Amino acid sequence: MLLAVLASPGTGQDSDRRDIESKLVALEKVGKLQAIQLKDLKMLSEVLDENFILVDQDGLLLNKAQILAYVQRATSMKYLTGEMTVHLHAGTAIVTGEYRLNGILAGRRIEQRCRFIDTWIEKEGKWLAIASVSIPLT
Amino acid sequence: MVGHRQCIDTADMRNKGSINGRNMMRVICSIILLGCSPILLLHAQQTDAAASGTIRSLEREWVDAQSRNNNLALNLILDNSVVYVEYGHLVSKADYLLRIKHQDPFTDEIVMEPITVRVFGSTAIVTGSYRETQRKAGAYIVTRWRFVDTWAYKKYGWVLIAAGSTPH
Repeated sequence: MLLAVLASPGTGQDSDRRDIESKLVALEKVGKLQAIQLKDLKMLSEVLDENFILVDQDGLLLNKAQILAYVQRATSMKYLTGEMTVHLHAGTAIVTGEYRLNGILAGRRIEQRCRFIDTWIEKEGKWLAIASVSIPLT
Repeated sequence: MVGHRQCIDTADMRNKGSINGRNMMRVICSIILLGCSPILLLHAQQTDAAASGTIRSLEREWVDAQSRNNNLALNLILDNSVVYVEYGHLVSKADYLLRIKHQDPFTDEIVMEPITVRVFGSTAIVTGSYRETQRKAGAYIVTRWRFVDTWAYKKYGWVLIAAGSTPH
């Protein structure tokens, strides 16, 4: 009985942690990647903080408005992702993983294989992406 | 200081309890609220500015510690669960410290360029670029990198929780 009582807060915390991790992976897959593929700028805008910044695989620094414009310009963008890992630090989370991108932008084919590191923060009960870096896989 | 003085005056008014006193208290409360908002905003800005300054120093210390094989300092700068991508590979803190421990400090030179720090409460994002000169087999290879570093404020101060850079 005592063991069960002592164990319960930990189990609860583990469960909360798993819930947050699942939520963040879903936000990565649906809120970001699927939104980009479907050109759902509204959804993409909702998961990106106003001060969001991205360093892309070519080392270019882009802000939120530039990313939304880039997605709008693209003819097609298809992402394939592998397993993602979430590291939680209170109200901050780091999500890392790999992706393969096949797309067409301004008539030019894009093929990339990258590792990414995304930073999310919890703001008023909502998780928002504040930074992302893509690193080409060699 | 002025805000503090006004707060004390408000407390005195409340004790008097008269109608005039209440009206006067409302006026004073409004003045305090109006006066305090910029003060609170200024305080938040100063806190962010202080955090930004600390993080800039830590970024410099990181480069310095790496160039001097100072693993003791690096151990304090990097969080134990740091996500670090170095030359395209995900490396653990232990692997990184091991590499630095055995690195010849004369084969690698890093020159930092201006950086930008964005503070989001207890999280901060640093973006910037640096030039790395590596000596390999008598030749110098220069690479310019753009990076994103993530810092989190924990129990004992700011620690690096993620870092990744891309050549550009």
